[in-house]
Amino acid sequence: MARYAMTVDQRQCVTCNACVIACKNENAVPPGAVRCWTAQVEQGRYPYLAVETRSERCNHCENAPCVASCPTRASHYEDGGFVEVAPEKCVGCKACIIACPYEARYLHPDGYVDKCSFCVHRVREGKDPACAAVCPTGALAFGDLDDPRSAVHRQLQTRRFKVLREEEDTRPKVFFLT
Amino acid sequence: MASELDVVGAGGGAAAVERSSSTVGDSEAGPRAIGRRVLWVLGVLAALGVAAGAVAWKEGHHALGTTAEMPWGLLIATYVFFVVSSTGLCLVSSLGHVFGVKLFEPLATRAILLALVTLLVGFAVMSAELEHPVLLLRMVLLSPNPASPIWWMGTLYGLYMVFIGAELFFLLRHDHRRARAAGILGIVAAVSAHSNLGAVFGLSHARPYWYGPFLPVYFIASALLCGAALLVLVVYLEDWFTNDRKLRAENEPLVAALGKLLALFLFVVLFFTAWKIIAGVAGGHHGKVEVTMAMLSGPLFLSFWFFEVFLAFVVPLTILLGARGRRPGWIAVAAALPMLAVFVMRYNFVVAGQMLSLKPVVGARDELVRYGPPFKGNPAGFLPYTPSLVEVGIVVGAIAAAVLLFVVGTRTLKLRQEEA
Repeated sequence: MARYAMTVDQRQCVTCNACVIACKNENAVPPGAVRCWTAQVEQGRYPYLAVETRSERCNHCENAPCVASCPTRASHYEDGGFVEVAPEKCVGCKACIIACPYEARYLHPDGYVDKCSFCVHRVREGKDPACAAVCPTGALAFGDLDDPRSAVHRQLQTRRFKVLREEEDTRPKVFFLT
Repeated sequence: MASELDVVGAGGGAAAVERSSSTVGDSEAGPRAIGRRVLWVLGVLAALGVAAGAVAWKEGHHALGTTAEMPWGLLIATYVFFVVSSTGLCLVSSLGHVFGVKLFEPLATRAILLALVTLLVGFAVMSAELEHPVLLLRMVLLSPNPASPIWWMGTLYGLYMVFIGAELFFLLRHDHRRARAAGILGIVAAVSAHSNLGAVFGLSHARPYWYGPFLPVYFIASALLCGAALLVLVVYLEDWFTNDRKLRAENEPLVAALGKLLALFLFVVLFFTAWKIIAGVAGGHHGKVEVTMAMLSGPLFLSFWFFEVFLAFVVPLTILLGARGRRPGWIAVAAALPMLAVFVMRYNFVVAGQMLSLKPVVGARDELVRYGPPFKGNPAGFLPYTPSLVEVGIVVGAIAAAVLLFVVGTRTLKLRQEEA
């Protein structure tokens, strides 16, 4: 079984927000909400400063607190390791929004919780997620962690990387190449 | 409803006449007349609450002030307030009809009625907060997730409702053996449901202010506090509004005993509060210390020190431990203040757990994080939340409806006359 994952190359990401726009178009994300966003993190103290630039989204965690907290199993794992929301089962209790350490979720105007799906509909057709497909600097790669030929697998073998909020023990599947 | 009230009003006419004769030129005065007016006001407020609820049911979260960053708001706090009250009433009143303390036995039916009313009103408030309340009822059975504290909380409160419903039914039929059995089941369900409500917050690892084993235990303690306070108010206010001096005198030992319990529970909750604050500051735990400091000296300063400390503990304990602590009127004041404070406490508790953004301006290791649109960041680091008018309307209406339903219930079922 594939374990789909994404890598975000912080050395290539320029936070142009093309991923944000592509995502909004692809998934008809309502105004005021996003499934994917960008961040700039300044680290260190003047004059020894460093800036990390990256694109963030749902981490499709292997130990997802949103899935655990959902009373109706609307938030669930799908084949390939996708963490998805079944709108027809979502009652809008927002426990998953509370549980997610990445604030990756929002309440859709139509009354269910929504978030990045890793564009599962595109992946099932053999395409990359919209954000990865549109990234002008090639900072976003998507593929099967367990497939030695995939870009994500190779990058994680050869590059230094981190995940966000490791202390939450969520085992995220979005990796940030540093 | 009006005719029912009038009948009861006529029943106590002698006392009312006696009282009003001393009030020159105002035949409408007296606690009974005031009581009738209060009920009308409550009726109007409850109707407004239902109207606000209808807006929330139709519009969903568009009618609420909650956001993606602050998803739980005033209605969640109100739900917690009501079900805490229900649990506390069930637990404290069980001293009488389950554990056989004679003094508390006359309280049983009224306490369980109020427990049922507060639980149902709590459910109604929650249904206004949820996007699809009816779907939840179906999905809890068809697609359960035993890893979810909300699933346990909902299911156990459902069971609890059945048990206390049965308890009330048997109490009304004077079947005390079955009532006691239902009461024992009710206690077990109440404690487990209520600690699971604590777990809904306490198992949120991403929210350090809530996370840990503290909340399930603390919730039980604060339920006991609410139960004792509400029972004082029930006994005292009923005696006051019906203006029955004989009953009032008879009930004095009961109110005094409830006052002592109240003082005990106040100390217990004060103890919990103190350690929550000490652990919050001493640990220096990121996410916990910021919010604790917000209470001690930040944006929650006033609501913490004035409501959660001064009104909740300082004033009531001063009254209860002093010479006034033997007088029913003062005990009632010492019960009313913590109830007001507990409401503020619930609101602070719900908001405080979420107010520190997970997308912070200043991150855990002092790194500065700037998020792209639409996250604007917040210079103070705390997320804003203002309840909408609809939310406020629902809360006011819910409190009015709970009192009204209880009063109408006690009169329809003739609980007071029976037990007196």
